[in-house]
Amino acid sequence: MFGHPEVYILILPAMGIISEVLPTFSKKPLFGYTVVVYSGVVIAFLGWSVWAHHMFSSGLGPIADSVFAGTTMLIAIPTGVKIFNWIGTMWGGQLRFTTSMLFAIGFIAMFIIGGLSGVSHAAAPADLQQTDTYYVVAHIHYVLFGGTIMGLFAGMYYWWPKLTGRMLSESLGKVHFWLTLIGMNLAFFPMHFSGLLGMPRRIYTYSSALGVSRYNQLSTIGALVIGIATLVFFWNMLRTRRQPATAPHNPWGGATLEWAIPSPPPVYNFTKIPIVEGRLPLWHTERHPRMAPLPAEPPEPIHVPGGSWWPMTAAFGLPIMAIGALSHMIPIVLVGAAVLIVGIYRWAYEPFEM
Amino acid sequence: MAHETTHAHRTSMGLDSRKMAFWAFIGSECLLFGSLISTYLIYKGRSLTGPYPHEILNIPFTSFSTFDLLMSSLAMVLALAAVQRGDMKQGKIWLLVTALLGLVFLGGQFWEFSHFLHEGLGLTTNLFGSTFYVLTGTHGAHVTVGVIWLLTLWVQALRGKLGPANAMTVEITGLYWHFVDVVWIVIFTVVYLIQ
Repeated sequence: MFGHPEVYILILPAMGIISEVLPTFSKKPLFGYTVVVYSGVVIAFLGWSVWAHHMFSSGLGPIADSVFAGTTMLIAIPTGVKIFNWIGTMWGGQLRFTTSMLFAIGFIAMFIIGGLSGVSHAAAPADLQQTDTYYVVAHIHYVLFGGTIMGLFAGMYYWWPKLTGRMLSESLGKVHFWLTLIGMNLAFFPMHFSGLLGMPRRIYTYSSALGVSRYNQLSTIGALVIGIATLVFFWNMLRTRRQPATAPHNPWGGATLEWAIPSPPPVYNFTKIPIVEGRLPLWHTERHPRMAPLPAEPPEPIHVPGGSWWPMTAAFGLPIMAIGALSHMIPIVLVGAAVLIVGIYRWAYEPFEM
Repeated sequence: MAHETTHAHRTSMGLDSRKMAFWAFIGSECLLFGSLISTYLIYKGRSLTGPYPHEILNIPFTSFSTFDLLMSSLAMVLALAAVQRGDMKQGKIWLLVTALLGLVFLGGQFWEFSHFLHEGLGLTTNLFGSTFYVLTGTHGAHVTVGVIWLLTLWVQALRGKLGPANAMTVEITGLYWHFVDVVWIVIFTVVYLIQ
């Protein structure tokens, strides 16, 4: 019941990220904006009705199997709608293949592969063969790594200048992207074959008679390539620390409001609340004039709340509580709970001005 | 807190944004209690070993607790009315009364739990024990939070930091308190009355 809504919670933000990235680098508004948004809502809702597809092999009986196979296949529809809308966004646009855009396109391609194997799990009879094999592992990695992680990387490259005022290197970024794409396909694509040949998951050893050694070897090499790619990304992030924060307001020519303010944003964000007349306030069309520029200095003093340690205190108490509960040590649970409660209480009743 | 309330945010909804957020919170609380109550109902009558509900639930005693909690809601209404009209003397009294009635309820629950433990019903004894303690315990935790919240408001009132300008704070506390009360009515009906 928990597991499946959770994976949709993981993918929906990444879908949102690429719905921001694709229009910017295609120089076109998101195709079918309303449909994309409502598809997201439908996915979030349907996501609650598919969970028993993890239990097809546990003997639920034909009726439950059919219902959950049906709901699972149904969720492919809003997902497919989104995919077509993203492709429609790029169609005929002025594409700029920045690292962020490459990751967004990689998301679409990889997520389609993961989605197709997902539909093959939805068919309960086929799933009985696939349960607990590497075929399932291949599916989850195409949707979670090829989907969510690539989407998050797209967002990192896109918003890094806004977050830090410093640009990530595009050339290192492209090395990162291509190594990631090659590495993940090398690691996860052979799992489809090894899985169907009977490679069980969550088992560290297997018989060489199974005939999957070559496939597993490829997966291992692919995993190493992904590791190297991620090191390139870490290096890319770390090296920006030494640069001056000189990123312009809007390095990508984006249309949304965050690009109207300096990078990184000042603590008060907007000098005054902007008047927004369209969905893409920084792009102007016949119907929507250009947004009025914001004054550089706030017209009147802006009240900004001070920093606080209490949210950190509360967050610190929670893992202590969880560790205590997991190790069956009630005193540690109580200590964690006390830290958590004190943190929340002081946070709630903190003076607004510090 | 005091500073925030004097500069309440105006919204285009005609509803204070804090109140809106609080109703959303109550919505999520409904889901929490809804799942715990459903769990209780699903496992009802499926305990393989005793003690069974009809053997140990004490309806007259719990009716008294329920009455006590209902009266605390009345006190909460009086507290809010007093704060709204600026009568902080009455406001202080009724806030304290609400908190004390909540404490009485908690005392009753403490007595009930220790009595049940004495009778041999633990958290892991049977399905009734697990579902009963988790459901009523979660409710008790909510009452505890409410009592701490009310006592905080009372202390603020004593220090003169609570006035008609902060009526929204008291109103939201009231929303929480009445919600916890309504949940108890459902629990009392489902667990104690319909056996």
